[in-house]
Amino acid sequence: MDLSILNTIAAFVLFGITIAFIIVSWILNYHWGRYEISVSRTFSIRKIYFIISGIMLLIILLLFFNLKQ
Amino acid sequence: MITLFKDEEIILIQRKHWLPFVLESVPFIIISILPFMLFAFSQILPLNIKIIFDNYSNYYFFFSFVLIFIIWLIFIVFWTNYYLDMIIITNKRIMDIEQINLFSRDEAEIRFEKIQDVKIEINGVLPSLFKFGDIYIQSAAEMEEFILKDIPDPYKVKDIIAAQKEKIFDESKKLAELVNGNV
Repeated sequence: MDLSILNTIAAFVLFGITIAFIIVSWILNYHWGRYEISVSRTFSIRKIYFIISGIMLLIILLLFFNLKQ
Repeated sequence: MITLFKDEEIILIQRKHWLPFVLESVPFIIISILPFMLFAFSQILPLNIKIIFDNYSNYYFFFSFVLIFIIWLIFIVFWTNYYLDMIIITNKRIMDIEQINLFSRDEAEIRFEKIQDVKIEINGVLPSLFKFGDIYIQSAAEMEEFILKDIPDPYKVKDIIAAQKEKIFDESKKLAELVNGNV
């Protein structure tokens, strides 16, 4: 199988999930900020969400660079 | 943010019971671990399929983690819908906030003066074991019935509603007596 096609698809997928992550984060932040009652809890939720998402994106990025090797 | 009236205090904020949410989350967990189970399973497959898995393992893990990340984003949206669903009981009214999805939200409220009857319904084995159920509030007006779904400890919530209704009734009775006395 031609690996360059898979690499191109992987690059597009990476770009797509990054855009999806930005849009989803923006919408969720809006909802948490507007509709949650406790400000401190909103802060904790945001922190947990961004830590988990950050770790997952980092793993995906490392795996993406691993494809080229 | 919830806007309260003057002299209004929040008595109880109650979210839906966690059990229906956990049960609905099971597919997310299954889909997330599926790629890894498939990879482990591939080791006992015939050699030609095992070779494909081994040769493209980099790609397999990359796309598996992408899938898990997408599942995570869908799950967090799903959790937000659960988390922002709540009832708020204040000393003046009951607010039922239903987050249907990210772009659809339903907020309804009923004042204690309008409440005529409160009914609890606990149906099924799991609601009985884990003590959650629906609360039906019948209003005096021609409004439709007010339904609070999957509320944990509905008897406690019903007691709070009854006590607050009683308090408001006593206050309005005293006020009426005071006005009649002055006249």
